[in-house]
Amino acid sequence: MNRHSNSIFLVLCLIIGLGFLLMSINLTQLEDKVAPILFSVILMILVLVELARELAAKGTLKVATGPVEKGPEDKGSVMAPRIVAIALWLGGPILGICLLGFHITIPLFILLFLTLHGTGWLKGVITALVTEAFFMIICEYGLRIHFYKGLILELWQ
Amino acid sequence: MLESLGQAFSNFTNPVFIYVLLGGCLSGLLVGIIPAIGGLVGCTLLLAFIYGVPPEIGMGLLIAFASVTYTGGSITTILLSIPGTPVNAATLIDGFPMTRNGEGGRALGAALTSSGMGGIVGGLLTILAIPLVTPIVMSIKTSEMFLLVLLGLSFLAVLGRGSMVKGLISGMLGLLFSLIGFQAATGNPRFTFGSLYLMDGIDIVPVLLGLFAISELIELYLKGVSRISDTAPVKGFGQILEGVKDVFRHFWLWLRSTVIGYLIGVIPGVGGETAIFVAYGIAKQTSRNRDKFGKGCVEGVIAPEAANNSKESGALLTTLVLGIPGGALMAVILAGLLIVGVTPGPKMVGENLDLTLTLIMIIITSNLIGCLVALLASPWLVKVARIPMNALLPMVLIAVLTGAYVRGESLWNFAVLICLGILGFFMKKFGYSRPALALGFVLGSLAELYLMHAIQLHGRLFFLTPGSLTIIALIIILPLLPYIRKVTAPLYRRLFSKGGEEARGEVRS
Repeated sequence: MNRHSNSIFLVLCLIIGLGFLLMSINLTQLEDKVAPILFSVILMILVLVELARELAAKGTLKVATGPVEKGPEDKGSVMAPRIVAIALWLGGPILGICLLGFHITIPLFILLFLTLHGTGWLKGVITALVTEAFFMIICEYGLRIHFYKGLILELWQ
Repeated sequence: MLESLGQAFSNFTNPVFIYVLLGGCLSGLLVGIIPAIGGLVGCTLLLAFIYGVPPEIGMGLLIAFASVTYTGGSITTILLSIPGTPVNAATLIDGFPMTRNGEGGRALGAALTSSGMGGIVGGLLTILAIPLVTPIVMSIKTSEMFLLVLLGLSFLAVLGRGSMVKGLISGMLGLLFSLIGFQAATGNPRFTFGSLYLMDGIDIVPVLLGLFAISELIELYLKGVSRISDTAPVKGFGQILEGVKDVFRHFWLWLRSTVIGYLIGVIPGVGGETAIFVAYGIAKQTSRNRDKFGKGCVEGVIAPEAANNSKESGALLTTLVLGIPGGALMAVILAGLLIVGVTPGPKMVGENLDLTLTLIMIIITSNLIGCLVALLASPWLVKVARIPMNALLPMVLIAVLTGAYVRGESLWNFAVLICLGILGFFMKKFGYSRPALALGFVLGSLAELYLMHAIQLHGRLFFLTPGSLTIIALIIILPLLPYIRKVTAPLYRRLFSKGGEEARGEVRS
């Protein structure tokens, strides 16, 4: 576990707590203030306790005695391209949905992802079409979900 | 109670209800079989689609799904040595060695029968427990409900995995995020920065999907999870039948494990893994074949599987009547209740008792159906695990994006989804409890409502009632337990060690 990164995370939590506290103090009614002030003060105390423990820990990190949720290994520069890739694969479909809508983005994204990760074109096309059909039949017609058509199509219309 | 039981039974005559139950069971089995996806992500996805449906249908789907994911998970655990869900880990110890010894079918038969029967008995135990817990639950006042929420967070933070302080930090973050939007009592907007989207508050579904689904997808992609190459063959139904008979040969082991799983499941925050490993440990300690454990002993499969499914009924009882979930999955179930318009708490054994009984009967029925389907179709169901992860990832992502969008049909949900996804990823990396944040978020608005009511009814000193003081004492003692143990351990060793007679005041002439 990277102690430096954990401290940054704690400082972020402290800023969040402080932000909520300052905004709560400015609220006019008592009923609006009580809960946020209480929770943000408790949060800030806890964060300061954890920060103090982090600073007091000498040398290597203290390992938690119970089983902890294990995150991925920190492999520095090896992970950087994968992080960029995951950012693109997460952000890409969202941007696509915003601009082109669900019905164009879903099959396009699946086709791109599968072909770029080693699956053949034909399998990619079939999977994309089957998934799109599933979403149209089950979600749009079955569950009557109105999928967003995309900014471009809406401007066009 | 009998009238509510009758009403609960009458739900099973509704064809839509039956289709939903079957659909939930089958999809839960399939999702449980796929490693690395798991029941938690599946249940979170379902949340998006139960909005606006009758509570018994929406919750029926969710509960049916959740009840059988572990049953499906045991198939890949035993045949492929890959736990379908984390709580199948104890089954792996003896399940896969049995497959290596050519007894995969027997292990499957034992696991599926044990888990199915464990889930059924767990449900029956819950029905029997309702008249016992009702007087206790009905005596809980509003002032105590607020403190119970804080106690639930403490349980998750302290008894769950990782550092206690980090768990409490997660819980507090969740509570704070839940306060964004209109205040329920005064109608004043808080922390909205003038945004129309934030006026209604942040929706539960993108928060949970981000925390649990997106963060897992990020981790899966970064790890580069590859395809599972081969499936181990199951040699005919004769072996499976042998495994079924094994459960009855070791009936008392199965019953003991079921009860252990149920009782541990009732305790909030302890988590599923504790129940299964305790059941496994006790089975090993009390077995005549102790040295065969770990090398392919059928008792090592029966015990954890029985505990696995029975614990869910216990956890559901605590979730429904106290509003304190046992872990992440129950936090999602709790979110489902709020989405369909049902508030957990004393009403679940009062005016909503028929819904409570319906949900418990769904657990019983789902376990029965799941067990039968899995027993008959396991040699083919295991092929689902062969679907390449690179093919599953984009489809799961699309399902997550759809689920996040569906609630409110707002593109801003994507922003919440990604932010919480990144937060969830780093929380897991640094050892912070995501279930605690989820619980804080789910219960935050309820907690504030209870706090306001408590102040209105009992004044600012609402916490001075006997019940409130008891709960406050528990909230204070719980985080101090590790330190109390540290202080008392030397005293305990001194008193009960060989030379402890003098300390105990025993005098020998």
